[in-house]
Amino acid sequence: MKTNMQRRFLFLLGKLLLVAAVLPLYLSGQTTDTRAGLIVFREKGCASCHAVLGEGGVLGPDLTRTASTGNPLELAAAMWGHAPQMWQRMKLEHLELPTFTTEEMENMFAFLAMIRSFDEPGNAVVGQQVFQAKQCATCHSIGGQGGDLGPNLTTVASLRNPVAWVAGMWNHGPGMVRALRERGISFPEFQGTEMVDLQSYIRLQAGAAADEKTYLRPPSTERGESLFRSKQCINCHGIDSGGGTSGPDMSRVVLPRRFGEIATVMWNHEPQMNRLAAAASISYPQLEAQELADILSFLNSLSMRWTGSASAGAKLFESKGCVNCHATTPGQQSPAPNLGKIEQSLTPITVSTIMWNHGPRMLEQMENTSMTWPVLTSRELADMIVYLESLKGRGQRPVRSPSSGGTP
Amino acid sequence: MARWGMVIDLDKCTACQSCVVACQVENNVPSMTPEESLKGRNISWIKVVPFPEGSFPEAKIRFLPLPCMHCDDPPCVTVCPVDATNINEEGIVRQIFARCIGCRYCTTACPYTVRYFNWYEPIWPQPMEQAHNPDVSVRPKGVVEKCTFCHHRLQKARANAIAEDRAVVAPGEYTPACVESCGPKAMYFGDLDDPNSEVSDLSRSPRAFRLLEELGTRPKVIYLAEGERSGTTG
Amino acid sequence: MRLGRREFITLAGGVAGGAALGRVSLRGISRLNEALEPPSALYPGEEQWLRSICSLCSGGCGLKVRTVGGRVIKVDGNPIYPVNRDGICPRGQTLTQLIYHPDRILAPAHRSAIDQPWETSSWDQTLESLASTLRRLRGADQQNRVLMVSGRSRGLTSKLCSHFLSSYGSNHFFELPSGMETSQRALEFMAGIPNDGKAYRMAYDLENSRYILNFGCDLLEGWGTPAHTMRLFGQWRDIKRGRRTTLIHFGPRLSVTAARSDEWVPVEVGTLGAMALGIAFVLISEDLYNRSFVESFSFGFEDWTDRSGQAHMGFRRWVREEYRLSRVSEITGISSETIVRIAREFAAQPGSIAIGPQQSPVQPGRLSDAMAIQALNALVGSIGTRGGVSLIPEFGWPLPVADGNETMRTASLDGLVAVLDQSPEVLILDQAAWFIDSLDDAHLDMLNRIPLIVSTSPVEDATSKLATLLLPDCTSLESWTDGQSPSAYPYDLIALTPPVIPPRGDSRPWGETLLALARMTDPALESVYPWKDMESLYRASANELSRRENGYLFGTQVDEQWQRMLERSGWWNPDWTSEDEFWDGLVNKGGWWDPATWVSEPQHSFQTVSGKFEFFSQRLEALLREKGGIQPGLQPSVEWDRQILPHHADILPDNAPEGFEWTLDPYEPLVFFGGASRQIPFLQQITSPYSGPRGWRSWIEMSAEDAHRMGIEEDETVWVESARSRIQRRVRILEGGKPGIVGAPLGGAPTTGRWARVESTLAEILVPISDPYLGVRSHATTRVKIYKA
Repeated sequence: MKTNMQRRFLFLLGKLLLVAAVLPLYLSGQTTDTRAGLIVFREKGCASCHAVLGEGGVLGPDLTRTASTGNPLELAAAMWGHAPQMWQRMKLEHLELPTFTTEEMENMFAFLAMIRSFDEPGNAVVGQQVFQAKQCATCHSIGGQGGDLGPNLTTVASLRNPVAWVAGMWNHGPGMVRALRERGISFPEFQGTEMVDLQSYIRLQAGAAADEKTYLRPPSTERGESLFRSKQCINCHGIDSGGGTSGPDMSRVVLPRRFGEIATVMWNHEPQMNRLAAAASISYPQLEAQELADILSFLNSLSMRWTGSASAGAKLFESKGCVNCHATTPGQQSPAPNLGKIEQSLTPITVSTIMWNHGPRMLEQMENTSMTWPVLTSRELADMIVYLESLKGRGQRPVRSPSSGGTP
Repeated sequence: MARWGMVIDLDKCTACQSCVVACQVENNVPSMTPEESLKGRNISWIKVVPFPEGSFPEAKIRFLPLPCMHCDDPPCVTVCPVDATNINEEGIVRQIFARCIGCRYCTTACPYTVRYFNWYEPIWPQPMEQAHNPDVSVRPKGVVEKCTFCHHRLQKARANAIAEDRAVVAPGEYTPACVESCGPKAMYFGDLDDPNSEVSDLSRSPRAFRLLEELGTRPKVIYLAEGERSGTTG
Repeated sequence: MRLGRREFITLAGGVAGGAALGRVSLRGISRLNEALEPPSALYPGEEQWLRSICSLCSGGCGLKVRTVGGRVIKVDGNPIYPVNRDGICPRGQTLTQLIYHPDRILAPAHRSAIDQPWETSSWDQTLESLASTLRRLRGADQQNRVLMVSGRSRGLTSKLCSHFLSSYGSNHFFELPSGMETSQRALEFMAGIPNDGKAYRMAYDLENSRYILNFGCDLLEGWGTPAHTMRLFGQWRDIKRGRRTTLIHFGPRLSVTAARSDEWVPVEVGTLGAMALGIAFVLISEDLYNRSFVESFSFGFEDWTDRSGQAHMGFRRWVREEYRLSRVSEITGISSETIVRIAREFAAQPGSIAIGPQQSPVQPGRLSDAMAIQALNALVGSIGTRGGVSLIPEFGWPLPVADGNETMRTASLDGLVAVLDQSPEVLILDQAAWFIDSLDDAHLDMLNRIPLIVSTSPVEDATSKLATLLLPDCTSLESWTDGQSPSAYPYDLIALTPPVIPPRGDSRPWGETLLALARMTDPALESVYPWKDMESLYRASANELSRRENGYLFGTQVDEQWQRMLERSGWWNPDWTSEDEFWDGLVNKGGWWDPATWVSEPQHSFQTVSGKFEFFSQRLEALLREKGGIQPGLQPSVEWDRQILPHHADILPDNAPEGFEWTLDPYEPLVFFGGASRQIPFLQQITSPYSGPRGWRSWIEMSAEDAHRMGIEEDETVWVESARSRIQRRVRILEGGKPGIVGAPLGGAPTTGRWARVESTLAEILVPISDPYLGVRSHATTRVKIYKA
């Protein structure tokens, strides 16, 4: 019987492990792991079928253009669901099935999460329409044409990162709102990638001025978290029920997965946010572009977390027919491996590794017995993982996902 | 045991002859005086041979880099009276200079004309011999020499493998000088018996062919014929 | 491919096979028992693999050098050098033969006249004799009597040369033309460059091109950077990269590039522009051109009216009326069907590009042809796109002095020849064998009248033969060496490597010689260049570069892909944080580059008068007005538009004189381009991959058809006679060559040193043709007659 202390330690350890696997390391500026993920992606041959950011093979889907976030759970569920189709196609093309170590899978997930949060270059044609529809030229000039009330947009054409661009807008937000009100122009809200498209258009119009390029450094989640406090965001926006309540709790909001799009959402709330902040006598936060990137990285990391329910998982284990082949009680024999015996701690990443390495055999056996491959939603996969993990604990560990709670 | 072989993609070859020079530098092949050179007595263990096809205006010229084929059934070996040339267990056709008596039966027997006789003492005007590769012996007058697949590089790779406690030479660890120098990456080298190696994969390509196959020499240098031009759409 | 044995021996064996079958000699066998152990059995010294940069052409490929016991044994491509990544051309391979060449010049020397013997002397003495002349001329305010000709054309030493000369006070610095000048001028006229005082260069994104119309460029014989172009060629045909890139070659000569293309279109001499306009005709009449680009971002496509109310002809009507297929077919000698087919393929997918014309320093081609070719790029919208063409800011090692970027350079051979007439007193020849190659005997006489000629050549060559003062440079492996983005390369890049071995003998890096010369000539000059050696100059220059906020140190291809992904979304993850870190990284990895230099978005704004891509270049119009003395506002005749719109004009008169039935097309083969390399035995042995004479001699290439008709055999010596003079050449017979065309390489046997051989230069018979707009030579194609010697 383990002591309370030991239990608590195990719980924390489990949490640490999960957080380490789930929090995108790239965001803290440590690009080694994500870069290693790119190597895995190339060397295992993924790149010969799947494109990322429009480059690479065409047999499989472009992994940056499919729906879902960079959340490892969603990735794992997507991989699980498409695996049989993928294996079949690979067999057809005489491609060897690579195997992965957990570490490789982890790096690759980190890599995929990273590129999925990257903005794609915008569409200048759409950008032009946005530019006209939002009447930007009334106040701003570009290439020598347009109003002179706001800053000349040629001077910001060198910004390559949509976040830097939004930061610029953010900082002169109050002044802009005032000027708009005086002219009776409605506050410009942006949808989806419009902001990025607009930026592309401005870059094109600026011509040679856009040759100079300025970038942002890879953002840091830790810095973002502390900025979230020091810039007083937390005074209105709670995280996991901690903090202010006048704005939405950021851990419960579903944010877009790309940085530029998160920034756009933020911009759209600018007038409201400004008003509420003023009411609460919180000064309007001025943000350096890099600071904004760090904060966005922190917000983005919140959507990397996941949670599941063991009891729902237990029901799924039966309804999906897993129970027909897999035993779960220690020592029990079953046609397929006993899932209660798995020593590894189960996470979306380890589950994907196991599924990828052993899946083809499982599929073959299932086909022989005319069973269908169970498709799982990410929610269902989460429940299942928590359930299987709970089997190991058997009353010794709390039956819940380590990340389902709040900060300790 | 590996069976070393080379694949040359003729589609990618630019006829630059980098392989020719790389081989000469690596293997201490002497450059000839202009007089000998003009008589066509250059020694080059690998040479680029043009194959014109068709007449104007539908002319095509193919260029064939031509090293020793390291035949599995080498005609040169059977005719050598002193076992100065033989094929080792890894399929490399060797030339043992100390045994060679200069009879040149092998140069005649070789259907690929890739064996060269040393008519003269090799000449390196001072101080050109400074650049000699210490891993390769210099051949005296009167012996036949030829491509060795840079066998000395295999020996080095093997020594490295042993030093690092590995049983076999890793893929890519042993590459002849010509293959290493190739700009368009038209040359591949590796173990033909390893079903997963790039060379064995390419050797099964529908474009693969061997020179003068009908002679039954079973060459281990495999060529890939030119690829098809892309269609106009897609 | 099916080949019989007999056929095979004929082709492959050649003379070598015959030699093997010759009379058996058994002499010498007794010596076979001598030791055949490789010398490595004894300890030959420590083995090292070091990085360096090739200096045998301006491309500057990255090298991986094997040394044993301090001797250079083998040179290969540096796998992390982005330009060549692993591969290397045959010239780079021969660096060992250059370093240990028996005719190396290992100490400074002087002689009273070129027929007198050399006397070696100390560096101080030799430099002082040059410095005193420079001082004297400066005192007499005759700085312009000092000339420098350089073949470096890129890198910090080249910048130092031109800057040194201008701060000394002379305007006469000449460097090896890249051969891309005409194409670049054409694109500047049509697409414009910002008027910001910066230098721009033309670049192609050929790695991503999918369909290439090559108007006469010898892509595989020295175009751009050989090892880079070869790597591209391999990639175009790499099935693993997906769709194969199609390469169509237009040109009269069956070059290696023509032979290795997917299709060779043997147009008549001087008709590349007409061919381009024929393709434009099909694109326009079949409505295949890129409408969105042409309609929104181009000027002069439709008929238009200028401010004074004068109507002008648009490119569309111009092409449809003047370049009908039947006419183009007649000019070029190519069937209409072929033109239509190629035009349709060209327009069928993105990533199409037209390059050319020609682009070699011997024949830079015509401006009007180059504009016709760039018009094709505009018609398919390939300006600034992926796989397309663009003008990008020139980027290189900054010279850390106050006005370091304002160095003037002249690239015109004609300009240089004009200066030779003005009784120069000092001529410094720095890597300038190419220059001597392009001179005929009359020019050489002019050179011989110059009192002081200085050669920096590390080995006896055409420049040392003319010189009376030798300041021997060493090879790039013996000194700090830099690299920078070579011509046509689409990325910003600088590279730097420390010496692999110390300089041989008493040779010295030319950059350091220049710094010393500045010190000795004038204290004022010394203060401009305060560095004691090249390493400290590089350090100062690198410190400037370290302040950049883009790009990465060299890395693997994975790093490259990774960095591009970051860049695409606006992130940059620098691998240095201080000047020291940048320097260490630079020296360690061998260089810095920005893999995201290439614009990923199509160019829509142009720095032209109209702000659009101009089919009718208003800048060219202004230039012509100036040249023709036409007042602004005054309207010239209707013929005016014809001169400005891209057009075809014959280069050779229609009626050839009696017997002059061949057109001689001079070109630079891979082993000789840019001069130099004549002294290298291994290169002399591989002068051409075609059969025929093996090295150490110049040759001409004739079609098999012509040769048979004339009864000329392979390797036979013939006379080649032009209106100017006649020379002897050996014949290579080209199976499948175009009748009436004679290919003639520049370069040949060494003119000096132990393997020297007397040969007339090709320049003797060439009749240069001038470009009517640029006023410099565009072609050297010459009518000749050929007969047995």
